[in-house]
Amino acid sequence: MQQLPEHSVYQVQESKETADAVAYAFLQNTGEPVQYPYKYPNIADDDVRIRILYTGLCHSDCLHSRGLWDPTIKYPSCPGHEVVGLVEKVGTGVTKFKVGDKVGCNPQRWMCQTCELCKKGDNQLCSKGIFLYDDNNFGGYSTHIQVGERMVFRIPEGFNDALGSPLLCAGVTVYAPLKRYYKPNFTCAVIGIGGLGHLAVQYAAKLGMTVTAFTTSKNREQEIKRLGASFLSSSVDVESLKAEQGKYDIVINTLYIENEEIFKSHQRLTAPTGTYILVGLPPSKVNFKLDHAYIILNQIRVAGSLIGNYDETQEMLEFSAQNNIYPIVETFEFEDFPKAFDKMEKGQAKFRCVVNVGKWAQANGLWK
Amino acid sequence: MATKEHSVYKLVGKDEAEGFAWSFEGPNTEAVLYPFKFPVIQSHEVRIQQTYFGLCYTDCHLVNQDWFPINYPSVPGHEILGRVVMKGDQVTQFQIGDLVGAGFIRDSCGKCKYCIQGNDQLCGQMGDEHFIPLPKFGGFATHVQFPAKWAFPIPNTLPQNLTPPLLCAGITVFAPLKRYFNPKKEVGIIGIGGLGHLAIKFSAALGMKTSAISTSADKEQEAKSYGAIDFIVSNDPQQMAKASGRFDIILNCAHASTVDEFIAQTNLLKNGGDFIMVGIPAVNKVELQLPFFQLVCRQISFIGSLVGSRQENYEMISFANQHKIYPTCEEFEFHNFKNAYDKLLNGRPKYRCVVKVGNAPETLKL
Repeated sequence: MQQLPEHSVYQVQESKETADAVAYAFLQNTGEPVQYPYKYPNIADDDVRIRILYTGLCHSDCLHSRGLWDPTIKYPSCPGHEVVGLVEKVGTGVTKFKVGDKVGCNPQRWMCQTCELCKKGDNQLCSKGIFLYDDNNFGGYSTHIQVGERMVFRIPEGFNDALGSPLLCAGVTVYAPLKRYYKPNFTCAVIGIGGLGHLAVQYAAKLGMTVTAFTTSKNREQEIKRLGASFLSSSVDVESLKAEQGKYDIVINTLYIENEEIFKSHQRLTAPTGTYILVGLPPSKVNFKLDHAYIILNQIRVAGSLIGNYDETQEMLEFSAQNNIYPIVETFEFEDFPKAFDKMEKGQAKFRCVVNVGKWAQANGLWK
Repeated sequence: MATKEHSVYKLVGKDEAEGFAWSFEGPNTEAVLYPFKFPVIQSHEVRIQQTYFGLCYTDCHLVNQDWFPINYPSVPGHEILGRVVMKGDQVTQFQIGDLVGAGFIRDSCGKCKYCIQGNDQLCGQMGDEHFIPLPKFGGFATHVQFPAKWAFPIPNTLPQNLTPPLLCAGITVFAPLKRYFNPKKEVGIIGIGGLGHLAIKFSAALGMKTSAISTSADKEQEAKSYGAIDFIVSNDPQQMAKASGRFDIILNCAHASTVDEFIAQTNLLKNGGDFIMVGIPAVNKVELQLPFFQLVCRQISFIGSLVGSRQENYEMISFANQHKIYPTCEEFEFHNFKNAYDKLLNGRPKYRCVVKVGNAPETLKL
């Protein structure tokens, strides 16, 4: 086994026998992640250490670990922010959870709870908010994760663990803004039926809206309608987009659209007084153009949205369990983490990749 | 004098005229006097003899075809104030002699989704009848005729010479401030001009902590006299950096002339905040661009607003009256209309141009 590099937070181990956990970590911005056994520093008073059952893979994991957002990222880097697991150990001050509880983690690691935005309830915008792998912490590509209890979520009864981990990021990313801006009689356009979009269709339909799916894949009509869409339309044909102008009270765009003309046509799908929601992020810091004349003349809101706050996330978990809303996933074994990452990186996942971590962890003596 | 005749308003000699308009016969031309007869008044309409009317830059954009081609002759103008001199027989809400005002909207259907919701300024069913300044004659005239529905009663306590700009500039800033109002919010008003100076007054009177953001450092005293608690010079990078992330609401009353300027404006917005856009510049002038990253990760919104509904107009008039909120105006005589228009188009009026109709047409040298 190659000599593994040291990490600033976690003590690298020679083998899993002495480790608290085994991660799949990137040692540089290219290549595959490799197994990285490690020990935790002491558990903080308010920390919860979690045995991961399932981890979802999200495209932003690539943007992070390949250094596409921040080229100064430190290695080894272990991403992953869609976690479902069981509490293994709690710090002395933990009151919300006990050993054995079924819990989840989302992209945020910590919120201050004292700044104006936290007090308003929008902890995802916390001025001191820390995201899961900030300060080079390890995320969910691991057998374990250790996070402050304030950012750990309770997994509701009846939740499908094997399917549900992507909801912690992809689910709340679409659920939160849909719920924030919707009215039950609205017509809803979902642009892009991929990892985010196929969940948006389900939530929008379950919230009572009439959903039109805008996609390039006309051959998936049956499947998309089964998810809850009433109609399908082209997301790229400018003429057909023009015919849909001003028809949708709420539009949720899960894609990054490079073409200016198409992006303008998407904004114009929005009905007067409606909301156009942007959640998809591009690979780099590119600009988009606001169609300001249309926005002003029709009193449109163009709104960005970032995951969701704590309450929205918890609510989403419960709404999903109650209404049987889950992503369509491809599941991989723990040792196939690199394969799962590759499939997701190449955009070939249908629709999200999930790794069954718990099975390997238990079989390999990591549940100590 | 006018040579091009409009299909609806008969061009006549001054002795038979029911009204005198200032007409534009092409883009980038001077207005010419157009004595006219109205078509027969419809049962739902009122005819107004104006006391004062206002000029708005949107009128210039329309006349000069900055946004779309128009037909000529064109008599725009949409800040109307005067007395009812004639009314259709279905009009019961006004009497002859009542003082009324009107703004950008001419008519709405009352039946569509937007009308029923209370957003009748967004009614899409009226085609050519929707807007006052075109294609029918608008407010640049001694008399105007339009549906009584969009005439607003004006209280006697409002000074008439300062009222017309409230009916466009006023409602344009009042409506979104009220729509997004919250007593805890901090508001930033960008641009202290026709829209901005009224926005500061309305926002402060609504009880929100209001700051003014301007390129003109010498407007600080003035902004504070309108109720601003703070003043930020927008081309001073230090001041802008200090105000970074400060405002829950930004009401943009001065379009950025470069992308960098626009991005600097958005930096003043708090995460989760609302950037309100009113006033449309010439279509190809400036692209409002922003990194996707900023929009999503800061969870900010860009929101448009278009004048206001009838309901919002009634509220605005009542509120302005209560709080004595008036625009700062430069006044011109009716026969000197060209000077008013030229000042607006090429000069920098402080802050709105108003024309006194007075006893025109007697004052016209015809």
